[in-house]
Amino acid sequence: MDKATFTAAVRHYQNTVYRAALHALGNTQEADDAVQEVFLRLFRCEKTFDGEEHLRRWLLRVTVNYCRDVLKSPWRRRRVSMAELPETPVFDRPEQQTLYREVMALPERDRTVLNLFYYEEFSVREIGELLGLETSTVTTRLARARRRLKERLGEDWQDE
Amino acid sequence: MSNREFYQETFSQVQGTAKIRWEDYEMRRRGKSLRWFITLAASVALLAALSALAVAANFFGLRDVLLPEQGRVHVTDEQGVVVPGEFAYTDFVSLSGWMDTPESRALSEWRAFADSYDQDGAIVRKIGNSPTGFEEDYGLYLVYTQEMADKLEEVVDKYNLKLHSWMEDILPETWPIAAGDFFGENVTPYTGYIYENGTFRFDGDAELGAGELKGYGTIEYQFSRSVKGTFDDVTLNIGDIGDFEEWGHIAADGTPVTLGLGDRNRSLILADLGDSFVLVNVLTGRQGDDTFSSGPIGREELEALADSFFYSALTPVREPDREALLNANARYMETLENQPAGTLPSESEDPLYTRTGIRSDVARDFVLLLAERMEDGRREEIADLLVYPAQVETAGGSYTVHSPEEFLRYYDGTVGQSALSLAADMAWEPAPSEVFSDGSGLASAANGAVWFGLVEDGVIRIFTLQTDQWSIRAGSGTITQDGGGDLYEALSLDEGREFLLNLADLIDQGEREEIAGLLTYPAQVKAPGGEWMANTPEEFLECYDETFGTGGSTLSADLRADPEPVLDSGGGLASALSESMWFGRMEGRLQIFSLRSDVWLWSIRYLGEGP
Repeated sequence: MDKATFTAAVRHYQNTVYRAALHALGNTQEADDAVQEVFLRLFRCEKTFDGEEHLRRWLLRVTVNYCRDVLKSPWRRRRVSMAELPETPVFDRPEQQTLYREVMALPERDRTVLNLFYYEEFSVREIGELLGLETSTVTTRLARARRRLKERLGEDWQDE
Repeated sequence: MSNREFYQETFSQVQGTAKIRWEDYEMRRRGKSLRWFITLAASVALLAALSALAVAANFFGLRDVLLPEQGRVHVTDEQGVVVPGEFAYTDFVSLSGWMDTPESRALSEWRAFADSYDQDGAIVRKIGNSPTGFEEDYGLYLVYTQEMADKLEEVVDKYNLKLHSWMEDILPETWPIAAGDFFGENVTPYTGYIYENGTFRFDGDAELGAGELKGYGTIEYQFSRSVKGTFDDVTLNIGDIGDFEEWGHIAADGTPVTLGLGDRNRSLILADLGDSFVLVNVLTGRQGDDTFSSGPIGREELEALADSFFYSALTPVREPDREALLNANARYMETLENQPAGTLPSESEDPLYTRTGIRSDVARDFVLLLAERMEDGRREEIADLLVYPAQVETAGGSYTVHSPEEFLRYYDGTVGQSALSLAADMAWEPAPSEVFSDGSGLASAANGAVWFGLVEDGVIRIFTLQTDQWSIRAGSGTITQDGGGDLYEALSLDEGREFLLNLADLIDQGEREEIAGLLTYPAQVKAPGGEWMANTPEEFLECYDETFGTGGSTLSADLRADPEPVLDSGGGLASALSESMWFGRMEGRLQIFSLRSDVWLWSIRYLGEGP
């Protein structure tokens, strides 16, 4: 990959990768580490991408796989249990702060699905392909996460 | 505003702080491939940066490989660009052995000559890229005039040494053929080179427990083995020797090594193997160096890296078979060419093999074998699969076991109580894609419940088995044996019974603050609705509805039906409700350490020191 393509990819997708990692890991520092790792893999990758969408999906898949490995590590379990609670970003409005907090309180598997659905605007079928899950599993996770957000956010979260 | 708009508006404000620059990665890549390569094409400046020598004192330490004269290196600006004409002087060490050896003394003498020769580079500039006529005899040294050739011959004669005659590049998978299998499972060698006498050098990575040691991940190093009896002109710039903290250490294979922990981007491992000398240049130190490694290291990490090599496999020295090396390199290149476009060996179709040495299909068979043994309750055969010593942790205490026989005493309190669910987890996800490795050299299945890998005799053994209630981990651990009885004061059956009945009352009366006050913090709370960490009673109250609020009445009814505690003589803790709950006295008051509801699928577990 040449420098110009790499730099453009960083400019366009660094925050995409960060959000995906943050949703998966629930920890801002670990998400920053994930960004470094994912773009290192892009740097080393000799793959040719068939357009922007192909690149975005590749980056998201690599991010999810990387985070999955991190989460499954027995060593990480020990670290995180002793770690301080991650700091919360500052938001424009209080309800945004609440949404962030409630999303981060969800289990990792539900958070990732939420991000891909609501932020990245993938369909349930596309999320299934990206995560290697049955469509029904994605639907279940999405429904559970929505229900939970509705319970916690009240009128700020619409019925769907 | 739709939910999607609300979500996007919120999370668009969340941005990382990582600085991603092509140049940083490029520098890292360049560093891997160029370092260590000293050829005739190298400039005088490069030689100055890499060549030099030293002498000994009492215990063989870093000063025993320190070259007597400092070496001149180029000064670089903030962007790492060389400032023409500006130099600094730093300490250099010999890679050839202690300073009182013929090899290092010869190196010192040669370096003194080379540093003073053609200082302004006038001769080398005049030669340019033209042949010097010295390539055939001295092609592996920086010799480009007769005067230099004469001096080199004088030095090797004086110290009765030979000159290198050939050198070959060694590709990553050729290392076992080139130098034997001296790599621990956690280390990865990259391309390097080897001389006719077995002297070799390469860059490599090592995974230090993937984080067990202060969360440490990959560490990068340069490995040098110099075979005695041959003159070698490579030296290493170590900055200021005063920055190093040094000590002796016995490596995992019993080899004594000298360790030097530096400040920033340099630490050292030295080992004299008799017929050769090993120097490992570790590319980080107490403060860390972002260019090469992920963070700072301490003594523990340096010792762990030192333990990652089997030095004894490097002696006696075996001279390499050049033809065999060339053939092995060719086979490796053929493998690379047959990879699907855009993939590297580490990202091939079986990354598990690359990372662990275990093929995915073999790993899958092992997982199924373990699942079968668990399902059948074949405890002795499961015990035989563990690595010993192992640390067994349960809510009742922590124990070190040294043999399958010792482990069997704890089988019922660990594997025995979760065998069926573990077996189900393993049977559900034994597909190759679900057996993974995180780079620690171990493979894992069942969502991280089991971690296994190859041990020295090439068989697969289990390093970690764990659930939320218990764990078995290879190693003797650091937690007090027998559950840290000193921490927990004993309690009587009457006290235990009273405590349980009181808890039942509190649940029925909805006394949530009082219940929260009985838990021990920090506590991990798991429920169908999520997972939380509660560090205080106030934080726990946020999850009260997810736990006691759901199924609390079932729990209180169970407590009233069976309020008899089982006292555990080991850790001073008592259990109740078939070990669904563990409690005990700490600092004078009774507290709950863990509690789970199998009916309502929630659990609360103390995660601090001790059970």
